[in-house]
Amino acid sequence: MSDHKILQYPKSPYLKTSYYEDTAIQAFDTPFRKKCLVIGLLFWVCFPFVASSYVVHIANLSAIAAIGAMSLNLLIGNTGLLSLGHAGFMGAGAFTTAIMTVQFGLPIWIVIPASGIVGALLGLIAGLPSFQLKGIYLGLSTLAIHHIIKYGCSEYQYYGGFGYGIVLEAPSLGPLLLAGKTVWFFVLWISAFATALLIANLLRSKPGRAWSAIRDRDIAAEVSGIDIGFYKILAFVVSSSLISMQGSLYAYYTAVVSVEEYSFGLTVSYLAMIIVGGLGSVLGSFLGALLITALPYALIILAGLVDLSFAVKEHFSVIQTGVFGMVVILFLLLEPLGLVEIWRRVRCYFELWPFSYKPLTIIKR
Amino acid sequence: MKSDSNKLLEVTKLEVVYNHVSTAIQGVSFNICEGQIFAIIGGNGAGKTTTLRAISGFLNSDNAVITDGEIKIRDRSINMLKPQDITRQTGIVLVPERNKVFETLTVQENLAVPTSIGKRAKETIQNIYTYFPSLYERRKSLAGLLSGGERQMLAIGQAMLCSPELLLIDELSLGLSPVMVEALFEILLKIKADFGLSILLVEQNAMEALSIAEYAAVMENGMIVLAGTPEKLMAHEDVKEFYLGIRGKEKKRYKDVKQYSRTRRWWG
Amino acid sequence: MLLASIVVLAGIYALLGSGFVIIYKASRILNFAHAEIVMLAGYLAVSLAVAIPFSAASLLAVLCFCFVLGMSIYAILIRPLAGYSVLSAIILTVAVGVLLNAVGVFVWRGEMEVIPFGWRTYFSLPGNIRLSSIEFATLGIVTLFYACMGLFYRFTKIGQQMRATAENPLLAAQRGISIYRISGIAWGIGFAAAGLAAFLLGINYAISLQIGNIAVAAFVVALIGGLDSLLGTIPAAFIIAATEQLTITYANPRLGDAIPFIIMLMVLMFKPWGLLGTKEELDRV
Repeated sequence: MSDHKILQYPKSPYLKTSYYEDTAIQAFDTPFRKKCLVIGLLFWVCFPFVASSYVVHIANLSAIAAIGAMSLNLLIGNTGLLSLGHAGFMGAGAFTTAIMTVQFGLPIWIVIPASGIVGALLGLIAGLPSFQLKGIYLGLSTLAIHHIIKYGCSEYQYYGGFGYGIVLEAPSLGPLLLAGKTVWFFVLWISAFATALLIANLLRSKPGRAWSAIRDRDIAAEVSGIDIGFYKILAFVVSSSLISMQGSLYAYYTAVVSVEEYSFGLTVSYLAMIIVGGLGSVLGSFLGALLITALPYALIILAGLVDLSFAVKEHFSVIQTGVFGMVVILFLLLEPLGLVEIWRRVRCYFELWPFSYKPLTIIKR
Repeated sequence: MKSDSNKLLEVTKLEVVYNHVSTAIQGVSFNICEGQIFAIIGGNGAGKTTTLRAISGFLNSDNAVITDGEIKIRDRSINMLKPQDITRQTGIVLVPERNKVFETLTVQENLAVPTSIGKRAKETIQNIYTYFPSLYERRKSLAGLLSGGERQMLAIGQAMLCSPELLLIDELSLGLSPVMVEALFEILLKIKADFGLSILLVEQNAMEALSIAEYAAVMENGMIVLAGTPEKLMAHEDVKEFYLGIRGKEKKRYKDVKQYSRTRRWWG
Repeated sequence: MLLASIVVLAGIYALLGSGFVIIYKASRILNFAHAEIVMLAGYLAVSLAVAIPFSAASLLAVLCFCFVLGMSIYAILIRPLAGYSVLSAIILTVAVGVLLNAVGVFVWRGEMEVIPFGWRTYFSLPGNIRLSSIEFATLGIVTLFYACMGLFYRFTKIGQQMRATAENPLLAAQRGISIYRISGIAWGIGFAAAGLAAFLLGINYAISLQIGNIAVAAFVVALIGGLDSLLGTIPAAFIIAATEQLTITYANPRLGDAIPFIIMLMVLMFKPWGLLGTKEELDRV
């Protein structure tokens, strides 16, 4: 009997039978997801040609912000180490870029890895206090490092005689001149997706598991054979190196480097992104970065619809900061798990739609 | 059991789960009558402290919840009350096992902390000093500098100032010399007689606990396995063997008795 | 002259630092909105000083406002977050700061203002030191504040309960203390200290948007002294004020901004709990 066949049932995307299946990146595993991906890709390619240059600019800023949010989320959300100094690492990347291009005229493909190395070294230094400090004390030590970096940068800017900022020329990658919003759109978003892939892969391999263990209970992690000192430093190095490269990209994109930009307020906005997006989630970093970056611009558009008095218009930037603070407060009080939790609830609702069973709820942390 | 009319605390089928996964106690029921000393004995991890913390409303801070059962004092359910309300409204006062005094405050300040003393604070505190003369001598020194026994006295004194009806004492004898334990128990008996309190003792030191209690329960693996008057418990073969260390006529060492599977003997 | 300015600055730093410490002691939350409170209180003091000529009355009004603001921020925003991670509480205070900053700029336009202080003479002290009446009043107010706080913690019922809650919140709750009420009062006092500091800043220097930088240095003071030690803020304030003033005078002003943080990093490396702070078991982030 040769025509005896085993019926091949289509596999359920929700039934995982091994650890490797469970941790695999689920992007292409169902027909629906494949369709979504193709449509998304098409939309992404067409977007900069369809949308106005203003909107593309916002999208570019969001991509930069997403890289920063992901790297901060890796440290805070996944490893449980508080950093209040990421604006400093970002500034270090930007100033490395400025020094290397303006002083030495080096090309972009040397400058960006070099910024990464500078960031990694700074991360190594910033990570050292994590051997004995935890929580808020660690955060304060990174804040101190931020101020020291900022001091170094301001000295360079002052003695270099750059006044309000160092102006960079548009870099070229081989024959391609990186200028104009559309070109940058592709460069930045490809970098953002590459970073996302890198972090997602790190999180589902050995370092990622070690980081989760350290976050959940460091003593238990140490007892079960994880070298917590090494992995804490590793988290700092990876995170600060990524955000340093992001600072380099940002410097190229805006073409101006000034120390004023890398203040504590920048760290605050990145913290806000990961809180609003969702701690410990790559998708959350993306969502948070989009929301927080687009928020002030969305307010401008909203304000255009309503007739505002002169006094309000004059101080519009103040209203933007106020709304930013308000949004963060509301998220913390009403949805502490962030946008990613809202997304999960929506998805669960549709996945289970005709049935009345409730999915398991996440325990509040 | 005495009659139901003067029942003070009623615990029925209590179940407590830690961190949503580990069940610490299950189906624990007992009653405490007015003016009674009730002792719970059992080994480490038997669920004694969990029972106590459930009654005093401390479970929330430990990531634990009461999943089943009810705790009632004078027919009022206190499952959902916050710790400070339990002390203020119901007269259940806990003397915890560790961190039982404020170490950075002086003895005098420690005694002044409870909020329910009100106007006649000085007299009430003086009254407490009459039970613990050694505390009065050290009233100006920091509580962190006191010895273990003095700390226990201070903790009991502090609890007394919360005007309790039911005093919960966790491991009174922990780390204290037998002489000190006996002295403390004597003071407790005196306080109980003077104030008309009920006391719930949780102890590992079964001999001492059974000698003072009027009614006792044995806990093991999160359940009450035996209950009765001390005389009855002391006469029980297994209690003798496992908790009092007596088998036959002579005392035995733990090493010799631990070979038996204890739960199997009780649960068949 | 330099010595006098160091002493006055140290007094203000100590006062600013004590606001952090009082709040941290009671609720284990570092209040990142402190700088904005100082700014807001300063501008309020400016407006009130114009409206009410009698400066003591306007100061009292500012202090009351700050106290109520602190209590209400604790009750509305911080308390619901009890049980969440340290990070949430930090971000929340930062966001509150951002919001308050926006309110302050919106209402007062962020201009530079000086709080008028009527009494103006100079005192000559031995050793060729001249002290203006304003500086004299500043030192007097700071000393008075510390004395009051010391007496408050030592002798009053609420002060004792606050110390008890700071040491062992669980036992305090068991003894019938309402921890939330005590923490709320501590937040109120911490904010009032910020208001007092703002008043002193306003009479000595000026109120402007840059005042936040001074408050950040004060935050370093709190850490160096020990986040839970009120007494520790005094030596810490002197260290910071002295090094900062000396660097600004003899080296360069940009280093002056960074020097408190360099000192803070060194303290964190070698004595993480500060000069007089107690070692604490830290929670995870």
